[in-house]
Amino acid sequence: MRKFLRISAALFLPIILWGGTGDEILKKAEDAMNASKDRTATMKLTLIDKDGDSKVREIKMWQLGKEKRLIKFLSPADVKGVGFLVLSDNEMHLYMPAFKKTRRIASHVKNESFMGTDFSYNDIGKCQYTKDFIAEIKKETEEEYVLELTPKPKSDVNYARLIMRVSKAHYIPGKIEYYNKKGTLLKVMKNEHIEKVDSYWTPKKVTMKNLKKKHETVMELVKVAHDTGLKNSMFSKRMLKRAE
Amino acid sequence: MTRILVSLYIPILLGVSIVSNPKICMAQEVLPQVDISGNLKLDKRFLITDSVKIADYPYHELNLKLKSNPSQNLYLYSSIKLRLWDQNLASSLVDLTALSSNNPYELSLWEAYADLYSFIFDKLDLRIGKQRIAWGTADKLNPTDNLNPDDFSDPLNFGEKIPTEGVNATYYISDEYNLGAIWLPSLKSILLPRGEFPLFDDASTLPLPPGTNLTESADHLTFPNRKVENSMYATKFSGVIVEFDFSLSYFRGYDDVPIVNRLVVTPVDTLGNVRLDTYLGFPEIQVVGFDCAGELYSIGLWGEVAVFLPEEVKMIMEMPNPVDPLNPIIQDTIILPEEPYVKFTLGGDYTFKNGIYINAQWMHGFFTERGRDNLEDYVMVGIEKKFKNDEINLALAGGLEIKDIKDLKENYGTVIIPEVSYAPTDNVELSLGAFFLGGKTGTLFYTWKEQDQIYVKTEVSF
Repeated sequence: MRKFLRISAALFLPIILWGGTGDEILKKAEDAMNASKDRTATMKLTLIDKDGDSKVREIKMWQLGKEKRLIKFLSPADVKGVGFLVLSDNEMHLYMPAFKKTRRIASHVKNESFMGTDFSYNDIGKCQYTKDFIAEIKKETEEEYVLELTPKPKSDVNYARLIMRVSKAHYIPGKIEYYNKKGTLLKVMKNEHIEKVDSYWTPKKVTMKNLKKKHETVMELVKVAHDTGLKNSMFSKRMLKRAE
Repeated sequence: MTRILVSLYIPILLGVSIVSNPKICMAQEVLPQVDISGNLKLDKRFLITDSVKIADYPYHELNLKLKSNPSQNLYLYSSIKLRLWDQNLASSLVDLTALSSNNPYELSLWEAYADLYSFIFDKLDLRIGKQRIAWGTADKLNPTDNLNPDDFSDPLNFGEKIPTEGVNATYYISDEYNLGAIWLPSLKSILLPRGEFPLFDDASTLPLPPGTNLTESADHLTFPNRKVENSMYATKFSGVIVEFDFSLSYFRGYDDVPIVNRLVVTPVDTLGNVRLDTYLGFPEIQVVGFDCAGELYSIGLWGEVAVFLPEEVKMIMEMPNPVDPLNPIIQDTIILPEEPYVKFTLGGDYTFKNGIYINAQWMHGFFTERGRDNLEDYVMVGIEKKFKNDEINLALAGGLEIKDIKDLKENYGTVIIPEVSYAPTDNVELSLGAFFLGGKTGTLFYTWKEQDQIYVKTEVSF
């Protein structure tokens, strides 16, 4: 019996070591989501309400590394030209062309809806889960890890718990559930149509569903390019207010 | 939004002529894309003081914006504004032959500028042409924002400004720090409301010699000579300190609100009837400004201070001399002393977890106020909450004007502005709201009391 246990341990130990801890898997997921040096994407956002009525927005996004993002609204006309710049988790700026002004986004706004979508400013701006969350493996199947993410002390997040399903094939999370302190499921995000683009695994469809509002936002990738050599200077207030 | 290809040479369309940049010349070889967008704003006001009356100063507006990026380092922008006043100017049968009598309108090339990015130096951006230069971090109540004159065409639409011709250069020292320099060749004045809206004292309220009766009046505006030495300039240094955006600024130019500098009272007959000629000018001013914006304990905060250094303005009054009619009596009074005065706005905002947004500002010195002893305090508070996936917005704003804090009971004015707006679909917003003005005699808000109104607005973007 003891010999059997030793053999079992010897067989499973490498698998456990290979799989890593929750934090390590989360890091791999984060790396997989931000694998390219930079990314330029045009996306179509469809906002669908509980009656099935929809509104469409089109955005262009530039991303450098894990932290820096610049987003410009291309349509509809009433939000066209609005710009959103993420320099870090703590520093976000919004440009409103109607006022010709750039404004730093205060913390109280970061958990609000981003331009009417089901993503908050934080959801859109934060690319690094490992900064804010501690991950624990709750379940493991042949296809995926199920991670439970809880906020680190003093982290600026509006969720008490996240359940993230990470694919073993490419480490892109297939589904993330967002819970509040009461344990109520607030939102569900799904990454679908995950394909290799420029040798990077890329979800071509992201859906964020707000269960309380019965409203969802479907983000579809229209066009994407990786490693085009975006420079640091692209991610500045100068570029935020500059027309594309 | 409509994207079309045109073969017209865009700078001609924009009224901007640009040469000498090789990148621009290259761009002419391919047809630049012109992006056309805009909005239509319809505005109907019902005055509700005694009987319901349609207000005559609001206007409907069509804005047409043309944008083009002929090359990576060049951006061209222009906007054309068509204002259609809610007035009927026809007073005779002949007037009825003109469409503009029934629907007075104005067409303006509102903005027309070219952005030259990385001009000569990689870190230098240049904007040339008619432009809006928005300074200050406060919410619409910006004492440091003195480069564009105020547009008081609709005085209840606070914070509207008129673009002016100029050159605006910004050098980006780093991602966080930049230095701006602005040159405005000539002064442009504020715009006043059409119809009855008391923004300033009219001639009939000015002191006249005893025993005289005003029967005629006229006013005369004198602008600074259009000499290069009378042009205006400004500079601004912007940066970040401890997660607070800040800027230091300096402006040297003219006050765009005219001030009375000469009154001439002339007898028109022997019965004591007189004519009053009012002469107005634009005093020189310098403004040193500071503004900042950031957050403390998740509350958004901003502050803006402007120190105004005016030139002295004397008002000369010429009155008839009953003893010696050939030598009129001349009196002069200093109406704007050469002493600095400070205007400021302090404010903050917060969004509660239930989605209620609150914004509060304390402004010292209204747009039209000047001189150390003439500045009043205004406290403005707004609350907003969105419903139905942000389609419905309920807002309530209130303002308290404090003319004299020591005797507030007798020296205050109030304004209450409730509004509900609804966006049934993208690009359309319908608003229903009201202005209720009140307070004590002598306050600004009280003088607008006759403007209590209900408004219906529609805005369509395309």
